[in-house]
Amino acid sequence: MKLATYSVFGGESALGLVVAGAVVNLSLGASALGNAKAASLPGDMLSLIEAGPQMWEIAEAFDASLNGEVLNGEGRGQWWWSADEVNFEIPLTPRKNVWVIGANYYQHLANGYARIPRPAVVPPHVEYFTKALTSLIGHDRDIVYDKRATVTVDYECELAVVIGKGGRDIPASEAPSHVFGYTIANDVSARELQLGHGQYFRGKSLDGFCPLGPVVVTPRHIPNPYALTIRQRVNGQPRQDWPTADMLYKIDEFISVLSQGMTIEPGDTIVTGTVPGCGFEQIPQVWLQHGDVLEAEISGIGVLRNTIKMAGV
Amino acid sequence: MKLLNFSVGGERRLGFSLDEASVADLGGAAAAVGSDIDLPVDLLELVCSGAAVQNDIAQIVSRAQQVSDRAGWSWTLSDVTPHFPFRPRKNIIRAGGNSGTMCGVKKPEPARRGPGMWSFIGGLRYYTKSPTSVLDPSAAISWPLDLTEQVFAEPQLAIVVGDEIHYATPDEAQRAIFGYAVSTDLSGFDLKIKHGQWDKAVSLDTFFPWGPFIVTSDEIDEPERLGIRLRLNDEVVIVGSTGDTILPIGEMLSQLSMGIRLEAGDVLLLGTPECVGFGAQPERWLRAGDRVESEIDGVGVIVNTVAPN
Repeated sequence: MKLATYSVFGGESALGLVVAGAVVNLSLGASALGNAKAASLPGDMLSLIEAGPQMWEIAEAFDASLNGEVLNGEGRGQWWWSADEVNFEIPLTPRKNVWVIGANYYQHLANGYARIPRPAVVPPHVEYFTKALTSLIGHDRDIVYDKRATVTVDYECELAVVIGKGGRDIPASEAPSHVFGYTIANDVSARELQLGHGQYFRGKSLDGFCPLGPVVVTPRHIPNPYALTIRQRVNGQPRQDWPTADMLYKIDEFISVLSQGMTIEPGDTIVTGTVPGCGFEQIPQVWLQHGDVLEAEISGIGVLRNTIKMAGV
Repeated sequence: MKLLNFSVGGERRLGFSLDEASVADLGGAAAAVGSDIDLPVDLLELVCSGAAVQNDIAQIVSRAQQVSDRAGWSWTLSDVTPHFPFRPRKNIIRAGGNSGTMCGVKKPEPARRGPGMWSFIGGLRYYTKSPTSVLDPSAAISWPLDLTEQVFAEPQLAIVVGDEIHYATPDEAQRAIFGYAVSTDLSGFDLKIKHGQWDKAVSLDTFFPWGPFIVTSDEIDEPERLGIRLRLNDEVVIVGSTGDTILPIGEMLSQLSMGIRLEAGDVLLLGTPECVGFGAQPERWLRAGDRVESEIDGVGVIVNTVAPN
């Protein structure tokens, strides 16, 4: 299933299923179609994830029962909407910062190293840093940067993994059963802060610097996360285009290593590193400017679109 | 006020310190002084409840001191189990490399201080601890021995934010602080080096004992002049002042607030008074049975023991 947190006409956020170009309100839709089990599922994504695999299965079954015929005009504006009529909000807000894997594609790393006379060194272990929750924004929201904080704003389209089942000391072989789904993150970065502070937290955590969404897709629809293509366009111009197959540390491994000695929880979101083509890799380097439109796209998930704005303009 | 969460008779309560030796249940005290305000259910909600509610609670706490019959809502501190104040909603932000006594390295000139985009030249390393690392006072610290062999402890002043801080001056930031707590910041030195970015190395389960008291900022006149020390098996191994830092509290919060909205309930660690683990290895790593004690004058003391792994 493709799950979304959406709102209509500025109303409250609700949990919906994206089916055939429509967004179906999970609980209202299930009620309208007489699926009592699905109608009583939690009404927000984090709660559904925390409710566990049995509840996810109920939602999956309801999703599978939906098709274009069900959505034939009846209930439109009551329990379903056309996808272009709704606002896609932040899919979920985890109970801790968003985890991010640094330097997880060789060519991204090598392009960065090309500016200094040193060969690219692949980190011998997974590099984990975090983005503050205050950096999360939804699809179509503006990324507002402030010159008092940064003038070197850059983009990084990344596959995000949402944890479904928590645990500690998870063996890599069991890691797939801990995944709830996948979404898109744009790991927007303030490069001078990222490099100047050495540790990346501040440069990665400015307000609005973590667009997430528009949907979370469960493994049923993405059986192989290494068969996806990551793309980013700036004002329609292609900048990033690379296969997830090229990931250095694979999902099973970085979930397993992250959970060593540290409990991971349902809803934890791990962003898996960006592919080549960022602004800082260009010669000369290019930074995002007021009015630039970012489209972060991952095949099988969708397009996450956001516009750069400079505060005070 | 000195606020805390504690358990007595198997029941979890939100309360406060009556005096050195006793604590009170906030709900019980409110009833005893005839207050009928809606009380927060826990310490995080209290921290986020805003000035009006907090003033009402301060009134209850103050009037409760005058009540002589405290049966049913007051206990000797030693009869209750104190807990950590709360689990933050986000990661705890830690300032690294903030020691002003940086292993003999000269403190940067004042001209390089202050908020703004170039202030990072001071070299602060901001990284975070997962909220899953919180631990009760007196509870055991533990970690898998095959994961890290170089665990060390630093005493930290935990700053609890009470109001939004966004593009704030140091003074504005200082005024938004709700209170302070003592904490022990545990890290795996070898894990820091292994992973490059430090967040995982400091986020292991049990790596953030803090509390039990949050001392409200009105009770701490000079948060940068507090004696702070770490005792390892009763031997003082780190000693200094909360003022021994490159960026003082207000400036650190102000710098972070340039771009990052800090919110009520956020917890930040100022940095350790002496350079330990940052370029200089501590003299020895923690071992099973070690007694780790962090103390900050006027804020409190927290003692934890390393479990046999």
